[in-house]
Amino acid sequence: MNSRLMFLKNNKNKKKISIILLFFALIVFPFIVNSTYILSLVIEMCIFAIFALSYDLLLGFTGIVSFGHALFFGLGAYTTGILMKGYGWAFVPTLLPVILICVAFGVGIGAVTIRAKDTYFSMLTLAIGQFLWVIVVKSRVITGGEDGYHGVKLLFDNNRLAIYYFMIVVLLLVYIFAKKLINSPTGKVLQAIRENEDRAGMIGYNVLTYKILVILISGSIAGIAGSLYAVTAGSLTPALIHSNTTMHAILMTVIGGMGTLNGPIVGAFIVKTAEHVLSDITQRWMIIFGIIYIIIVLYFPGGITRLKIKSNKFFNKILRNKKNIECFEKSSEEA
Amino acid sequence: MNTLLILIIYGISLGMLYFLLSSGLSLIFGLMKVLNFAHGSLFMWGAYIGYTVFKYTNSFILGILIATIVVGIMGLLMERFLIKPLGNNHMYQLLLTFGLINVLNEIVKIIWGAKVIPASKPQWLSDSVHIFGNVLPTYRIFIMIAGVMVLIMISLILSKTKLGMIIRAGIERPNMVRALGIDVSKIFTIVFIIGAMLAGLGGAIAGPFLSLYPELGVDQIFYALVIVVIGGLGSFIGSAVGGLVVGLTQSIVGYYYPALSMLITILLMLVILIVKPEGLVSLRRRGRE
Repeated sequence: MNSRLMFLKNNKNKKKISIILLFFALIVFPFIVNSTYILSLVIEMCIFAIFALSYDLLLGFTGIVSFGHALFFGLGAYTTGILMKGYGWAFVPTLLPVILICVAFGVGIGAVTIRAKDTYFSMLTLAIGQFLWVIVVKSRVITGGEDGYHGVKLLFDNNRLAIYYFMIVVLLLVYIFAKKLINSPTGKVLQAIRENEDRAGMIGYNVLTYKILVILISGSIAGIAGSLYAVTAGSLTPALIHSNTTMHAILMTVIGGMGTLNGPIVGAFIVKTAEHVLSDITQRWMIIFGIIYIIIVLYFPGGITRLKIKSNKFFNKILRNKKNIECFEKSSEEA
Repeated sequence: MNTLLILIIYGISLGMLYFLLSSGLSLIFGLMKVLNFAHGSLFMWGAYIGYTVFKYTNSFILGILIATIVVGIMGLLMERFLIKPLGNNHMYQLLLTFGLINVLNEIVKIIWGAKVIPASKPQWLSDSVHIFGNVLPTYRIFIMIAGVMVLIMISLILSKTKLGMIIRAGIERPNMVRALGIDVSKIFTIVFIIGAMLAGLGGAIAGPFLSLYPELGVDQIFYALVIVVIGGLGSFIGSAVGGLVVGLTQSIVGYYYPALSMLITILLMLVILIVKPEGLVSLRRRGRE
């Protein structure tokens, strides 16, 4: 028994050490690679990791399928962009209207559809997302239309190193928030809804309210990710709202692992890296991901991070067996 | 008055096009409870295949036939290898069909290129007739006739044949059908093929009307979703009603205020969702399920 406890403690230590090492690596990383290109890539990764994380709150933790999540991302990006360039706002104050708008959209869509059926939510989010896309394309005066909206003031005067550290901190904050959320009583209810909506309702939870709550939380986080995109990329195109951007979030979440917090981050890392590597080779890199995605949905719905967790469990089992055998041998010797 | 009349005729032909687009989607959902988000992409494939066959054989009708058959086969493969293995897990089925949009679009880009292709109409359909002093292209009439023919044919299959009886029963009481010893899984496959064929047919007919580009599927699934929500998700007649409602509104509003045509479609859908969430035509009476 004692040895088992020691083992667990040791494992916890290992985790602590690996987290500290990871932090150290993240801090020294820019000095090792010393390339603006790679730093920009990591910054983009962080933004999309936040976006995918917000999507995972919906899909992985509550079981709601949204096909228009990019609409929140686009709303955030365009709100920040237009307020900063058109009205001379600073970056941080724009986050308030961004969150307000995303909450308004989330509540609106949720209230109309959730009552009908889950499928309706997927349909309506896709339809409204595409509709918003058309509006952004058509209203050239405000959004620049197809040509895009350019010249948004960049964060920290485009000092990539500062932006890099800033993004890591924001990603960490969002991660901690998401972790707190899913471990809170509210989060447990959300997971209960994912497992069995009817039962969660019968226990007495108001499923509707909880669903709308998670929609607006996740929408707001996606909006913030959009704002961050606006101040790091500097130019916005309607493609941000198109269902292809939603597809990116889904790819990252599903490939990384639905219902885990590390999954979307790992997924964002993989998809963005592969995008930059593959897009040099072929323009049609999306097809590779499309096929990988379909295989994962069909055969490994847990995603990549789950595979690792499974292998860990496997090793633990072996180790435990070994320990058991040792214990058994010891006890038999004593006897 | 004459303008309004011609607008109504335009609206009906547009509505029939929408009906061809969305009827397969609704039929599949009604029986299998699978909402095929790749339906618009199948529609696009129909358009591209019809265009290619027409280009090489110079026969428009052959193009439509081959497009219908090939997309039907695509539907068969999709159901067998992608939808069926997921069984009853509708969430994964939604995710899968949405991912399939990407794959189908990318394959189109590889085969036909990413540029817009203006598909041509056959000689015998590129004329126009004069009605009440207005010009009505023959192609509009052709779309109308094709739509009505499909509507009648599928309605007959649904109401008169044994297969149709099973499908209708399966939509209303799936468990009872299973209990009667009918192989529902086989019926699922057949319905999925019919749905896909309808998409292929609609696409081949719509091709010269809409012109071809790889995002066509994504653009069209938008309309298909709006129409099935308005008409009633899962109802075959509902998709015809929804298609006509949207077609007429778009043609009339689009004539007077072109900018509002899409907005009004979305508003119509939202109103229906709030007032009558089950759609204009619902198969199930309230409170039964």
